[in-house]
Parts: sequence; structure tokens; C-alpha cells
Amino acid sequence: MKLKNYRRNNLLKKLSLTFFNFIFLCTFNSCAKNNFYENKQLIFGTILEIKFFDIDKDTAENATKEIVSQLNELNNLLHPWNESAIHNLNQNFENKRISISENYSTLKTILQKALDYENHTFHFFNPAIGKIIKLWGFHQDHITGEIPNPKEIQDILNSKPSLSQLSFSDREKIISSSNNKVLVDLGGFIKGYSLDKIQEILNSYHIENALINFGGNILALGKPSNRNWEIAIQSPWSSSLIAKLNLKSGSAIGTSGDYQKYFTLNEKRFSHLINPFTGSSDNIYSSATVLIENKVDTGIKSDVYSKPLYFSKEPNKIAQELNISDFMVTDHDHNIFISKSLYQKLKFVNDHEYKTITVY
Amino acid sequence: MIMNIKPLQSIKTGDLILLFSFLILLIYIFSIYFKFEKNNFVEIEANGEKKIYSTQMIKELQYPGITIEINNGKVRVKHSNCPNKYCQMQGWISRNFQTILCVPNNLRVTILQSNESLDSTNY
Repeated sequence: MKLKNYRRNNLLKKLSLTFFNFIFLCTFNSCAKNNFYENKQLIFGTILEIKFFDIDKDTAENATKEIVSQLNELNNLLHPWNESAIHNLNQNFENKRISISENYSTLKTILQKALDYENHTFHFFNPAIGKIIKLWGFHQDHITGEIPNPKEIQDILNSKPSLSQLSFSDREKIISSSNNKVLVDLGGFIKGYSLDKIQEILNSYHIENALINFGGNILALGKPSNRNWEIAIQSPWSSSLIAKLNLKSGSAIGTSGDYQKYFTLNEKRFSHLINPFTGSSDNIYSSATVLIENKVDTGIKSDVYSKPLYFSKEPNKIAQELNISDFMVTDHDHNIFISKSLYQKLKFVNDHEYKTITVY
Repeated sequence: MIMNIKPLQSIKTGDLILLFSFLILLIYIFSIYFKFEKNNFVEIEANGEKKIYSTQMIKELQYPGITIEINNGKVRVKHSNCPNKYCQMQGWISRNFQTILCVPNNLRVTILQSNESLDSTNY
């Protein structure tokens, strides 16, 4: 009997030791997981996804709060068709007098930055063609899907709308336009600009490891644990995934694609990406992706630079002139055209998604 | 025999530790199962062809005879032409390894624990 008991106790000891080990590992593991902070918000009609690593909860929550409040503020400033400062400004160009004086200096800074990029991208990124986008029916929450009158579009194109036609009067706090066909739509700029703003907030909170996804545009800072942030790129043809990619700290990736906002008429797709030179939604490519590892205006570039590549007939030439080394465009026939530098960084998955890959 | 008559006496510290450990193990396993936020991907296998989608979007996917809706972390069969419509009745799924099967349409939808290495999706 004694021997039996001894054996039994011994077995119990071993078992409980194993389980203590297990419990220890579990708690340890969950401690490690607590280092992650995740948050998701709906802002600007799109999803903001925040991930922090190695951070205490208070800092993470405060930073998130500030990010959300600043983005809401931007929304109230820049929303193209809802009540916003830009909306009021656009009405002023048609001689309605609505005061924007309280937001004057912020708007001026943003518009001048956007103008810099309009000039820099050879007007492929043109935030002044809002009237054309509105004619296509994309300036409403529910897209009705009608093809606009080509004559009306031509009228606007003939006036060559550009942000350079705006003039700023600091003393009276008035922004006016010499061309009344200008309607400012910063849709191709807001997400990137927001990412840069978010990076500033993160810096002020001394947050070193973060991944921010704002409506598909992603900014990576630092790394989670001992690996890099790894993201996937969505396929433009099926919303499946097409490639995986490691993001270096301080880099941002952005895609312009015809698969996010569009309407279908007679089995033809009309996307919200309107070519500023033709006023048409007919484009050669399905999507254009850029990866920016440059430290200046990382977010803005990741948003704005995809436009010239998307609209241009020779994206590799434009990329060279803009000094974009990592880019990828895809056409409607499932072909991929990619720069050598990005090709070396990407890992393609779902092989049946594409037919060919051409490396520049 | 004596041990069988007085069962309480036979419970030793070791047994309690063991019991306690099992309890914690159980809680741990449940906590893994009920983790919501990490399920960022859904695998859809239709006619033997597998595809992985991000669940962080609002989208409808058309498969022959079946419509799948992805809505910000959740997935469901919105419409199916199969006779019993079990898949449709199952409603939204969002947890790890939750699966919807539609045998007549040869389709399987499974929520995946966020691929440990994938953090987000560019679109």
C-alpha cells in the first residue's frame, strides 16, 4: 500500500510539474500578446486599422483617441461632398459667399501641398477636376451610375482646371479661383496626408512600432517583435490576395485600383478613377501600386504617386522621372508589370490570379 | 475498498493542483477559441480551388449558385440555390476555424486565424 501511494504521489508530482510548466508558458505567452494593441474604426467612409507593438495600454489608447479626433477634423475640413470647409470653398468659386476664415491657414497649407504634387506629377494627379468626378456621379454616398454628357466634360476640360488657378489672400483670408470650373476634390490625397499626420502623432507619443492601414494605404513603423511587418496586396481581379511583402520601418504602400469604387453599366465597369486629361473612366490599367521608402511625405507619396502610373501609357517612364523605384501596375487581362526592385521584395501567391509578370 | 468509501479523504494537494491546472487549461483553450480580432482572413474552397481573402472589407463574392458576403470581419453565405439552404441559415461566421459548408455547390468557407506573419492588406 505504501509503495503504491508513493508511486501515485510521484506520478502526481510529475504531472503537476508538467502542468505548472504549461500554465507558466500560457501566461508568459499571453503576456507577450498583451504587448500588441489593435484598434479598428470607421472614418471617412473607410476602415482605419491601428496596430501597435510593445506599448502600454494607456499610451496606445491616448494615441488612438488623438488619431481618430484629428482624422475626424480632417474629414470636416476636406470631405468633397458632405458639409466641409472644402465644400464651402468650392461653392465660393461659384460666387456664393461662405466664410472659411477660421480654417483659412490649414486649408492654404493643404492646398499648396497638393498643388506641389499636382505639378510634380505632371498634372496626372489633379485635385481640381472635382466637377468631372461629380458629373460621373461619384460625389454621393450612393452611386447612381449614369454616363455624363461628353460635351459637359469637354467644357470643363477646355478650361484646364488646376490648383494653380487658386489665389490666396492672407489679409482677407479668402481663397479664390480664376477659373469657375475648378472644384477641389482631394480624394486622391487625403489618405496619404492622413498617414503622414498619424506618423507625426505617433512620434509625439514616442510610439516606435506601429502599423496603420487607412483605407488600404499602409504605413509601417518599426517592427513587431523580431520580424518585419508583413502585409498582403489584394488582387485587382478577384479581391483575393496576390502577393506578400515585408515593410521596412518608415515605408508606406498605396494602390489605386478600379475595383474599389465603381458602377457597372451594360457589363462595362466605370471606375471612380477619372483620367484628368480625357475626363474618361476608360483606363489601360486595373491598378497601380507604389511602395515608398523615402522619409519625406511618405504617406502622401504612397497615395499620390499611384495616379500617374495608373493613368499614363508608359508607367515605367513616369516612374523613372518621379524617382519611384518600387511600383507595380496590372492590366485588365491579368498581366502584371513590375519594377525589378519591387519584384525582389514581393512574394507572389495565388498563381492562378495572373497570366504573366513583366519585370522592367 | 476503504478509499472508495471515503472519497474526500483521498483528495490530496496534488489532486487539487491537477484539477486546478485542468481548469486553467480549459479557460485558456476557450479564450483562444473566442478571440475575435485576430481573424483577418477567410479561405474559400470552391470546386477544389482554394483562395484566401482578407475579411477587412465590405464585398460580395459571386460563385456559381452561391453569393458570399464579406463584411468587416464577418463572412456569410448571402444567397444559395441549394435545396435546403443550410449554409445560408448558418448566418455570419467570424471565429477561428468556423466553417460553412455547401455540399451541393461543392463549397467550403473557413475563417482562418490571422496568418501569423500577415499583419494587414493593401487594397
